[in-house]
Amino acid sequence: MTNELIPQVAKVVAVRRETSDVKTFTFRGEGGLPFAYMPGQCAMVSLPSVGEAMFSITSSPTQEDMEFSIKRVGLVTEALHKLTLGQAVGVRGPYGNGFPLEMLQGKDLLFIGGGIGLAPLRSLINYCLDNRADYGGVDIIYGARSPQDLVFTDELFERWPKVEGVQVQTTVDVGDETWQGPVGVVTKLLEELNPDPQGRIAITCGPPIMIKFVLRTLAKLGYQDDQIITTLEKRMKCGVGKCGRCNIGGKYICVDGPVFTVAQLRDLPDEL
Amino acid sequence: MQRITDKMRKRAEELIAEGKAVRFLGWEKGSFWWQSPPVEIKEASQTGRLNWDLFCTANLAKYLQQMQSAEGKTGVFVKGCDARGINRLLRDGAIDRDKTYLVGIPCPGMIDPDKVRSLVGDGEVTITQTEEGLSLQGPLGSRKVALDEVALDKCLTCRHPEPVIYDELLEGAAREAFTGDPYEEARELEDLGSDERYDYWAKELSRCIRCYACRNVCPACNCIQCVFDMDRPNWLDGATNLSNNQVYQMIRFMHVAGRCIDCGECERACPMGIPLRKLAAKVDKDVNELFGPFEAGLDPEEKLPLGTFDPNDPDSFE
Amino acid sequence: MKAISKTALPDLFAALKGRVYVPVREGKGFGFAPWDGEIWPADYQNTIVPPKQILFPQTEDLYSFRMEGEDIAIDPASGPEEPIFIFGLRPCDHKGIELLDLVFRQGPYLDAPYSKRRDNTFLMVLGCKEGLPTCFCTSFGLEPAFAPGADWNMWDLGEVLLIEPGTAKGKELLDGLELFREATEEEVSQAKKLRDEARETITLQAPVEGITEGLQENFEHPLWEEVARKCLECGACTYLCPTCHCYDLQSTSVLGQGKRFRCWDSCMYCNYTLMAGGHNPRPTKRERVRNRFLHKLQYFPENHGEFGCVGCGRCLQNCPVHMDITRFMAQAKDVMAK
Ligand SMILES: Cc1cc2nc3c(=O)[nH]c(=O)nc-3n(C[C@H](O)[C@H](O)[C@H](O)COP(=O)(O)OP(=O)(O)OC[C@H]3O[C@@H](n4cnc5c(N)ncnc54)[C@H](O)[C@@H]3O)c2cc1C
Ligand code: SF4
Ligand code: SF4
Ligand code: SF4
Ligand code: SF4
Ligand code: SF4
Ligand code: FES
Repeated sequence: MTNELIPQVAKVVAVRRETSDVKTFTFRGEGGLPFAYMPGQCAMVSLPSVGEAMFSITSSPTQEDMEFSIKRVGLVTEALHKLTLGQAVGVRGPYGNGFPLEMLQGKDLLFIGGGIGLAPLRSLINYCLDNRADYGGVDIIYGARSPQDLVFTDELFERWPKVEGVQVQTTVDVGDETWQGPVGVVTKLLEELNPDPQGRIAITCGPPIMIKFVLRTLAKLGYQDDQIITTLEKRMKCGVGKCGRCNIGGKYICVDGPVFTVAQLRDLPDEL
Repeated sequence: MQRITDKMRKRAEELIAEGKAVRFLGWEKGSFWWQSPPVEIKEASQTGRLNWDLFCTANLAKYLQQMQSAEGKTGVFVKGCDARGINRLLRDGAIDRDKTYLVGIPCPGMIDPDKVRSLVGDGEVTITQTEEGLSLQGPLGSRKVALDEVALDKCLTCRHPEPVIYDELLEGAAREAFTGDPYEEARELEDLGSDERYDYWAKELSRCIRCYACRNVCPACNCIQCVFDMDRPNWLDGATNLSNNQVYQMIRFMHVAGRCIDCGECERACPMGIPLRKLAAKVDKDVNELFGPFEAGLDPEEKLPLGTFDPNDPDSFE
Repeated sequence: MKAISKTALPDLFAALKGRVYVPVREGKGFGFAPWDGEIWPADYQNTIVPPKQILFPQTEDLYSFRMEGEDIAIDPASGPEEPIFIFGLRPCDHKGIELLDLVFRQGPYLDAPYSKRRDNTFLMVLGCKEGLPTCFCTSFGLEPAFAPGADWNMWDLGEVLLIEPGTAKGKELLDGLELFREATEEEVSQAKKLRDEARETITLQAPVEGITEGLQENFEHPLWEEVARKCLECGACTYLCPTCHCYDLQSTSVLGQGKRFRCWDSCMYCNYTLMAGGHNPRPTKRERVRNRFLHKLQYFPENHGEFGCVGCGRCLQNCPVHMDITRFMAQAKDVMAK
């Protein structure tokens, strides 16, 4: 019986700075991928003498390496930001349900991301693009506070827009002299684009306040609760549904989530 | 007791009606003979829940901290030790005197349920007050005792059974103040050799499950964020072992040194039966010996032996 | 059914191959400790800390680590190997362990340290002759003097203990040792009488009928604020509960060397659900007290089809301000009726 709470050791094979407080790390285990996973799943990353924290796996399982985009907010994330190439970390996972791929198959997809919330979406976006035939049109709406806060700019501006049937729109709350794109919150852009709910699933992730307004706008645009998917975040320790702390009602977000349809969330008590 | 209960209910009702207090803290009868837990009364019509008996042990002072953000004045019934707890919080600026209305109750001393159990058993127990003292009935028989035979140890050495701060007093004294040596037990422990003393405390503290009931119930533990709840820096990790448990109680008792009012709540709250009052007494004795006679919680503006700065202090601060 | 004289218990304990835990006097009451030659206290009722601490220790090392240059060396803690015998646990605590099994030994992940220990644990239940005033096990359909599915059920007849095996493992152990004799008919009927009479001694009742459904409808009821008011947010009720399983993971280290361990944690604590950026989904004690009660009475039944409370009475016995789950249930039923 293996102890789920003991991590395996992986090495940092690439570090990319996304913004002033977000870095994307590529990890490789001894035999390549530390473990198999699906889009939307998460993993615990640790520096044993500092601690452990939960992150979405931002790479797609169609890729060779495992990537995490990590925002510096506290103890563990600060220490992780100091990692350099070749250094070792602990990883354990995969945790969580991931995105409901069956439900998405053959559908048009609408991704709405905010800030670091693009991290879990990116896994699914790349997965869909690598299995292009299985999905319909893909619309990506992404917003950040400022042009300096945009993550994955290479994909946002170069790679994704080049793929057939993919539309990417990026907005910032506050622009600057370099910024030529739209200015304003994502919901503004969303309303302007007004993507037809027919045959489409919306998948959103971002700061709680953004999610709140996005859900409201989607409802206004005619999306049903079971057409909207979002991911939740809670304080987590074990990741395996035992330590107790990530529950909303009887659901443990680490195993029953973090991905839920809005219809599923309506059945849960209001304890976000 | 019934007389005082009636008076309490009546006064609470009047004071709420007059607008002198918008809510009242007191005690109600609990589920068992030995329980009279704290209750918050929010309407005049609910004052019938209030109850005064020999189990109203819980110190109500601490709840005033959570009432600070609430609108209006909070009425509180105070025994001697509740009153000292309130002075304690006032002295630390943890609560606002203008937001409290204190009704003093003379305390006859509270019962230690374990002492009753050892005499008449548990279960169906009734305790009635008679002219001479108490009449106890339980599954193991009946007994007539003086209250002090079954009172809590802390009550036996209580130096202030009458409230030391109040806006009004329900009645006059119900028990004589203790004037003997409050440190008898502390002396007994001191008389042990240092190894024996260490072993004694090691044995007791090794049982601690670090539930923090002793801290959370204590009117001298009123920090808004306790060091033991911090994770940056993490002063003490969560592992329960003798050394961590010792560090926990050492820090806690050093922090309440000169501020402990000897309400005994820590010891009562401890599910593991750790004799925390003995630690409190030892620390208090040391404070008295080092800094002169001092009793905490007698005056809302008292000078704390370990909290008073004096430029002529013989010890340097470096 | 077999019988053993109490004076022969040391022989039994000595014959058991593994670590034997027995009730001992501890603090104001009792606790479980490895047997060290003394027979358990005759007036033993239930322990203050439940035997969950044997299978799910309050503090348990997971692994040690060493930073070696760029590398990390991880060394898993050597798991528990020795078989465990818990002698004299009560039926409520036996049920408590069965409920922990649902959490730790089921679902998509197993808890390895717990499961390993549990696989190797032998439970010898001692029937209660008489409940404490705070016992309400019968409300949850338990019997004070019989635990279905226990390896052994035992009844104290004064001079002798009667033993009935309830599992194949239990029967094997009983048959394999030469310490027992067949119980007489007289003794068997005495044990039966004890079992029946014990039920009658439980006076406290909690209204369980329909409570789960009722609570599902009342997440926002003002009652929560009212019941939580007096709570001091210590963790006594949760640490002492035989079914509470929350834990924290922490590390200690000096100069890149240290260990990671887990320790009990409690949903009653203010920083338990606190998140980066200061957001706390359960910001006040109203939400925390609600979570504790709902975990026992709603979430556990939803997830496992069983109540997460066994009626052992520890929380109502030990709460410094006498928070009483039975009283809460009665109050909740009242407001649901309205
Ligand atoms: C399912 C899931 C997916 C996530 N995905 C990502 C991601 O892809 N990228 C990313 O940057 N972040 C992600 N997070 C958030 C990330 O886990 C937290 O930012 C991280 O735990 C903070 O740890 P820290 O040690 O740096 O902060 P600390 O120093 O521990 O804490 C700072 C504050 O954060 C609180 N905290 C500790 N652990 C958590 C936690 N797990 N969640 C929230 N608050 C916590 C502490 O109580 C403290 O108040 C995710 C969280 C979850 C639950
Ligand atoms: S109340 Fe007792 S067991 Fe709990 S932390 Fe205090 S000393 Fe330890
Ligand atoms: S340390 Fe104990 S006796 Fe002293 S004030 Fe605190 S609770 Fe009361
Ligand atoms: S709750 Fe029931 S089984 Fe548990 S100690 Fe009490 S009587 Fe015995
Ligand atoms: S033991 Fe009582 S005071 Fe402490 S957390 Fe539990 S209910 Fe609250
Ligand atoms: S909730 Fe209370 S009565 Fe129920 S099992 Fe836990 S400690 Fe025992
Ligand atoms: S993180 Fe432990 S239960 Fe979800």
